Amino acid sequence: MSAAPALEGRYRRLLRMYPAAHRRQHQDEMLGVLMTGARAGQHRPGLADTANLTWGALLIRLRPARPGTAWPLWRDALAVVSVLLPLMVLAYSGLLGVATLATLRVGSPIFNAFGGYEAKLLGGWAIVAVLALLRLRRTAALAAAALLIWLAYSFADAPNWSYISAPSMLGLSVAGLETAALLASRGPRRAMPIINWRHYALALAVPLGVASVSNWVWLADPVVSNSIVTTACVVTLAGMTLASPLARRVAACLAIPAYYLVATLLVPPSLIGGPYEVTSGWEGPLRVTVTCAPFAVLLGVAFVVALRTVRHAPAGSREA
Amino acid sequence: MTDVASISGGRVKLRAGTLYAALDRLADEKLIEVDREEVVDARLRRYYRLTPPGAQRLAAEVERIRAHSAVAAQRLDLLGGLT
Repeated sequence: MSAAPALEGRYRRLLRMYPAAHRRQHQDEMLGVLMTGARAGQHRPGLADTANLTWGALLIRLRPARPGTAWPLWRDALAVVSVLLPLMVLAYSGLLGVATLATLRVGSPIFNAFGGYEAKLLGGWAIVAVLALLRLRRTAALAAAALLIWLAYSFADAPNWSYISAPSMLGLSVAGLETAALLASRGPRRAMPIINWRHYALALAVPLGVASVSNWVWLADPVVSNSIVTTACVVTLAGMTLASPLARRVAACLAIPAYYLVATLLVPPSLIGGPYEVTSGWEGPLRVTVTCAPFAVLLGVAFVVALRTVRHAPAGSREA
Repeated sequence: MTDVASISGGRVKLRAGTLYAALDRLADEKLIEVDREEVVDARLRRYYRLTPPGAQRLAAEVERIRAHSAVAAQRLDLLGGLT
């Protein structure tokens, strides 16, 4: 095989990273540009060209197909999340909390401590849920922010930064997501016309099912229960990504708490450490990596989006 | 791409990924449009031209850069840097 066809084939493979619509329109001319720029006898795309094409494909894929179509869809997804998330939390934490309390002796110190904490947590989420259902977006956002601050505060006294762990991040990420969803979208007013009874049923049934499995099956066999919960999370989110572009974005938002839920179950507590567990040695780095991975992903996405937004801004507004 | 290299004295190397990301965005904002296509050495070559809003935007950008460089030259002059 001579150099040119081999090189062209390799460029073609690289161009598969671009969206199909873009490829249909530009693949031939891009190949022309790339082949014209190639050195004589060049067999493979250079590292710089490969990186540049990857970056270009990423930019084009992350950009809304038409200006103003994708962002409103994200806002709608956040609006849906703002209404459904408090219900999901109430279903999950409510069932787990009540089931745990049922195993403790009423009035014992541990019952009082756990019961008090659960009552505050569930009370806080109930307030957020009711305010959201009453379509009081700003008040609900304030309540969710207060909940986030209270959670952060209650974790902050844990020693050795051990609150940087999946279990505490599960609580924080849910409260943070709810606050962000209420602030960044038109909230319940926008969501109510979109959500039907099936969505409400699903938002209650999946957390209730997951909580039931992790409470009762776990006692018999933790491996089975963890596998069921992980599969349920993955299948539900995957199903949503297939359902519609809006459901796909809702799934992307819910993937953050789902990640922490699964991480809490799958990484043994001895490795990640609970919120109040003092850890040392290599457990710390693993725990921090597991905890911070979503942040790294989010930061990367935010960076690309910010870059695009700056580049998209008209010359005048960029100076402002 | 060779044009960009020669204009910038070789300091800027425009690559296909960057070029087509920019073309995609500019076309989406209706700042450029396809002028004509031709086949050279059995390869499709597509030429783009600025639309009137695109030319306007470019003129505004040129004016902005000119103003900035004028201020920079003025400041340099104040320091006695320009003779």
